[in-house]
Amino acid sequence: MTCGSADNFVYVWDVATKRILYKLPGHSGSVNEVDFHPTQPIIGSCANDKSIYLGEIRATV
Amino acid sequence: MEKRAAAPEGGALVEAAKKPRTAEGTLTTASKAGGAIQVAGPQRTSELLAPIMLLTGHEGPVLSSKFSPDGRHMVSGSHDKLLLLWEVFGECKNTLTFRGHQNAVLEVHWSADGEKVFSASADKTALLWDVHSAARIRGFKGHMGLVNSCCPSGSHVLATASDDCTVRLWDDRVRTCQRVIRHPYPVTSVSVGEAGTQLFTGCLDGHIRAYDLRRPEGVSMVLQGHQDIVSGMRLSPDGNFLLSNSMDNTLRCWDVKPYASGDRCVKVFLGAQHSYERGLIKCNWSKSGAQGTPPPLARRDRATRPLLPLQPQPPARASANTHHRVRALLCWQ
Repeated sequence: MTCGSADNFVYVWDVATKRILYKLPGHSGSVNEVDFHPTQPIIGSCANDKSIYLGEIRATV
Repeated sequence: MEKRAAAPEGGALVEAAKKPRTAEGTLTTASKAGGAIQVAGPQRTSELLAPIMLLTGHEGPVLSSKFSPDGRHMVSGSHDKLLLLWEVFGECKNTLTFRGHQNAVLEVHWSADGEKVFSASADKTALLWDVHSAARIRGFKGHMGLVNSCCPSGSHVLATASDDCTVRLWDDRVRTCQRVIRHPYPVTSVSVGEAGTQLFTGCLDGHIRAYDLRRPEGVSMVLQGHQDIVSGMRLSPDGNFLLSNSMDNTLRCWDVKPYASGDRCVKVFLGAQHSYERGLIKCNWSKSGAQGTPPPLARRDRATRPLLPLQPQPPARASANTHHRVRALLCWQ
């Protein structure tokens, strides 16, 4: 699962262990929404800095 | 012409043809298509042109973005009243612009068939768009306050949550609103199950209310735990768990199976922050957590590794297209 944050990071958690897997920098404004790609290990995040990032993460199990 | 035809027999061209076979096949073809050398980068896991792509074009804060069900497109809604449709693969071109909202677009959603896009806006309406033509199919008018959130169920049903303390249910084949559910406070987020029977609403008071849409009467369950406004909610892909994000800086995972007993709040996630801006920050499940307990990124060897920071470097290559600048950032590790 994932969530945006007002501290400009994108957070990705492992639901089973409750650990933060990724804390991704890059945005320069509050991250409003993060979405997972339906088939590939890609996350898309959008923020108050008017930009959208598509980022590749490691392949899931 | 005859001279050129004879040339492949010469040594130089034969060697060039050998090269792609000896190097890793996928990497060299990818670098050929992109026109950049990416041989030294980390191992790629997806078909993105570069590990990190930056999409620019909105002229205001981007408040919501979603991948299409087939994964080839992405739609984003912004404070600049526009929705933009992007290609995910290749150069990430902006292919369509949806114009029509009179105020900021607060949330966007794809219909289950990937043919339509729903959008909720601060102009007190929700709109339904055709993704092939960017035409507005219909509007959902009736709310008296700004529409904070929307959530489709299947291809036709839409739930909208508004500052006028109501949640409304719509069917895009029927002109009028199907049902109005009144709340004591403005409603900030809404989520509907795939089957269209369960409705969850997040309120200004931090309570999450569950409704069984097959019954006419009121709340079937109240999930209490959040200390502040619920800013975003999503049901897990299998519909058994609800994830909610709140301005008390916690995310909670709720067990919403019909006959579960005990405490419904099964997990609390810490880390993400909210600020004085009080923006409605959404949360999402990975799509792979389809059955049973959701293990989206779970892996034993990762349990011991707390953080995996990716470090984006300054842009390595830039390209321009007709509408907007798209910068591809290469990530070196």
